[in-house]
Amino acid sequence: MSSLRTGFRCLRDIRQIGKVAATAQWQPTSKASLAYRPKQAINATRSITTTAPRLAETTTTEIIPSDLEPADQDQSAVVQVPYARAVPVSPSYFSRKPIFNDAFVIVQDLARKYARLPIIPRDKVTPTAWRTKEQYRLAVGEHVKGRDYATCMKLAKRLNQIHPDLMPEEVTAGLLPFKREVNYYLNQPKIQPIDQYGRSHGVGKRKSSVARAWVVEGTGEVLVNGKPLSEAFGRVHDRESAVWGMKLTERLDKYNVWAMVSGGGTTGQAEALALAIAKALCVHEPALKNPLRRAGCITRDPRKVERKKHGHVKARKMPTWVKR
Amino acid sequence: MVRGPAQRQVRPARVYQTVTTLMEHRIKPRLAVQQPVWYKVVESIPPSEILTRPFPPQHRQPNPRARKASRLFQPQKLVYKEDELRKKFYTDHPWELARPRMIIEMDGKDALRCDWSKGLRQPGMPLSGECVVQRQMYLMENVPGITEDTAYDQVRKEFYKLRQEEEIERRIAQEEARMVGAYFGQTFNQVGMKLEDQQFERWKRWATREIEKIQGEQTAAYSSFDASEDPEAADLDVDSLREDLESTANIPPA
Amino acid sequence: MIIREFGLRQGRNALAAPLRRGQQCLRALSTETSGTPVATADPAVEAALQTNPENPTVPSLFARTAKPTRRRPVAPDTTKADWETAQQMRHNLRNVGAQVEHRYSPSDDVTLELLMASQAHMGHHASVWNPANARYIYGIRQGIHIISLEQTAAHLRRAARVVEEVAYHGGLILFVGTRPGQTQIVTQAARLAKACHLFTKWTPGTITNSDKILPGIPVEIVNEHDQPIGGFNQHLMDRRALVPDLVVCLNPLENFTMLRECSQANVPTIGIVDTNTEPTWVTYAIPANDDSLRCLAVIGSVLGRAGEAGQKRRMEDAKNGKVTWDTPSEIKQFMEIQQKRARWAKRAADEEAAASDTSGGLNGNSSGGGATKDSEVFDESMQELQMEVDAANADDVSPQLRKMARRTD
Repeated sequence: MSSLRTGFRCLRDIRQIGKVAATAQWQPTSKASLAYRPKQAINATRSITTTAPRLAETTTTEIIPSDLEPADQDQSAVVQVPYARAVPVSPSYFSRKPIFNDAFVIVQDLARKYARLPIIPRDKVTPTAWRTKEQYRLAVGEHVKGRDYATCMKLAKRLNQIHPDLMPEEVTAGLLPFKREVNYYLNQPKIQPIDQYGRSHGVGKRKSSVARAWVVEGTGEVLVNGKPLSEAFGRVHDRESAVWGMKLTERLDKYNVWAMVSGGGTTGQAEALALAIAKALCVHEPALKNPLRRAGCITRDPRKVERKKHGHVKARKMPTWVKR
Repeated sequence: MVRGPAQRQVRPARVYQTVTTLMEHRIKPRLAVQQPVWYKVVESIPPSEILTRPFPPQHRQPNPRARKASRLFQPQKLVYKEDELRKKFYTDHPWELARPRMIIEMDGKDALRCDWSKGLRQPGMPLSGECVVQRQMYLMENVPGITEDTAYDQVRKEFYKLRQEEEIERRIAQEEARMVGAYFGQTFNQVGMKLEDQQFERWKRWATREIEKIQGEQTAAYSSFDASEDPEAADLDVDSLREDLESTANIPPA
Repeated sequence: MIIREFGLRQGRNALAAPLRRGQQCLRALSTETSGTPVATADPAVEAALQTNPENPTVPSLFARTAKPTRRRPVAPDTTKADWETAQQMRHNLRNVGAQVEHRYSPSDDVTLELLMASQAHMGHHASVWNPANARYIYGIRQGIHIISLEQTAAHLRRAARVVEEVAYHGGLILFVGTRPGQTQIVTQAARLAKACHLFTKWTPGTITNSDKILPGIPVEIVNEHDQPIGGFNQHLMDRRALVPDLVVCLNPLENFTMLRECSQANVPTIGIVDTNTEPTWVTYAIPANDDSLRCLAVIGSVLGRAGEAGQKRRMEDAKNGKVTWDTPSEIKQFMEIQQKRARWAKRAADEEAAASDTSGGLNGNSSGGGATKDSEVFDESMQELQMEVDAANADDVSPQLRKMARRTD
């Protein structure tokens, strides 16, 4: 991971120099004396920080006091200070994982400080999207050990249980590096409307087939690609699975279906249609969702044809192996 | 953790000398080695000498018959007179060890505030075996002509008397409190009996469930046949089990 | 997946169960559209169906008895108010009750009683001792070695002075304690002394192989008032990793690698030495019990406080214009190069101005004394540049500069 970071550093460096070079290309005709100059140009226009890639939330380094800023912006200025020494930005410098360890120390301190605050049971806590170890590693760029991360997360989750009315600000801030940017628990499903003609629309997919179905209250007519069900599907099995959701819930004679199916074979089309009809049916009657789910009409079957691999006859089949 | 024999290191203690040599080298005269930050500090505060073999603190009279010179440099055992007295007292009164002890001290000089000439009771110190030992030590050192056993007997009797007083005080306080309506909860024996009863009840529930399960399995096994074909064989086992259960459950708790 | 085949696939189990012998499996196998009516469990569905009321109790394959929704009246959540009341009550009742006469107040100095109360005197079993520690041992009590607390206090004071002085001279101190439970001790000491801490495993080579292990970990340049200075970005990209100036180790036994690296890099070390530890691994040994967190906390805070005092003195001196440290040679070198470059740039600008003046006067005729003067200046500057390039040794030299230098060779 450290090598990865070093790699990024190089990339960033080159990009900056390249930008400078590109701007230099468009400057007026350069003479031999320009050779003296580029160091200045580079040094002055280089505005990036040398800090490692940090989380947006944890970036707290405010470098460069205001009185020194003009010196940095001025193209001709040189750093002229009597005393300068290098110090690490983070106290965890020698631990190799400064960002994680700093956050960990903060979490530990908070856990100790707020150990007495009343907590709520775990199932009452607002669901939080935590970063997994891998996500954290990616976000921070440090190879955090699983054990350390688990210890940290245990404390973080305990802190998260603090009663929301009493949750201190610093706890919220301290836990931020371990949360994902997007809390997918707060996602709300989009509500499908019934249009002015009383139709509801549903889309279903299976294998490589796509089906769109419009369901309207009626007398049980089903048209698939303009054909009745019996013409659209030759097999009885396919016909049945296409309208399985309606049949199961005894809605077969209460709705009309007009559907368009494309792609794939008959089985895929029929089951894509089942999914599309079930979804459209749920728009009319949301209470039917649970029975339909139990019937397996709501779940998208994600299986697809596995690609063929080289060295194999099919996806996984190997050529017969002969000794000689 | 199993470790091998520790390796002696030379460099840590000689950091200052090493860096001095480095700085004063003449191999590349133009290459200047900067003085480290700690250089002046280590110069003014040198590390202590460690690898010399000291004569250890002596805690006993030198033994003229000791012949091994190497023993001379080994640390000696720390033995005090009180150890014997303490051992004797607690051998005689082992249950004194079961009493709660207070180990909090104020500033580490609490022992200096005790005056053992005045008796076993000392301010800020509950009555315990330590009081006996200290008082006995005091008597042995200060009363002329007293032997260890006599002192022990004397102090022991003082101790018994005080303990008895404490007991009586505690009992009376308890009775008074009960009189005005205090409730001290269940005794240890009562709590133990209660826990035992709970375990019995739990076992009874478990056993009933098991019997029902066995019965259900048997019914399922014979359900394809006529259920009334062989009732005795099926019922016999369950009945005996139930009898067992009832007889066990009816044992009065000891 | 459509579970139409449920009955067939799970048929064995379904039929084996004694109670599941009804119509449901047969119904699942049927193909006719208007077969046995299906009862759904949800009351809402039931209400929506309103069909086949004659047979609503037939158990369905997918039906499940819905729990009757029993809604308890929701009590308002008073946790916050309760908590605040409790805090208020605690505050109010603080002075109620007996007045405790405080006889003990901890002083700043390290006393032998404090060390003894923190179990600093307890060594290891007499059989596992390291004879090099003989001078720290007072005697044997109940089979274990008792560390002489006079020695502990003396060595602790010495170590505290070292920490204070190194902090005063602007050194980088590192507190290491890698056993479980030492995190807080180490971080607190580091916070006080404005130092670094390490509470996880020491990566072998962090000092001796720091070019591979520590690059990219952020470092900043500060002035004598510890304020960050800008303009060193190039230097920060190129410089080597930092090496501590003093290392304080709470458990030398587990950190032999680190202490070895420190000795190779000529870094003085302070270590807590128990009776089974090798005292020669560290420069300054503090004989004490390294298995007691209480003892470690005392020693760690003493050293942290010493560092704090040193930092405070340093900052005060800096305010009064006295700086207790020198600029490291690599930073000094970088600043010199920067200044040299600024001079060239100035000269080049002057030349350009002069050339434009002459070309304006002579109208393109650039032969004559002016050109020779230019070339002389150019050669001189090129020599300087060459020296510069050698000195900097692939320091940040732009491709153009490098090309120019090569051409002059």
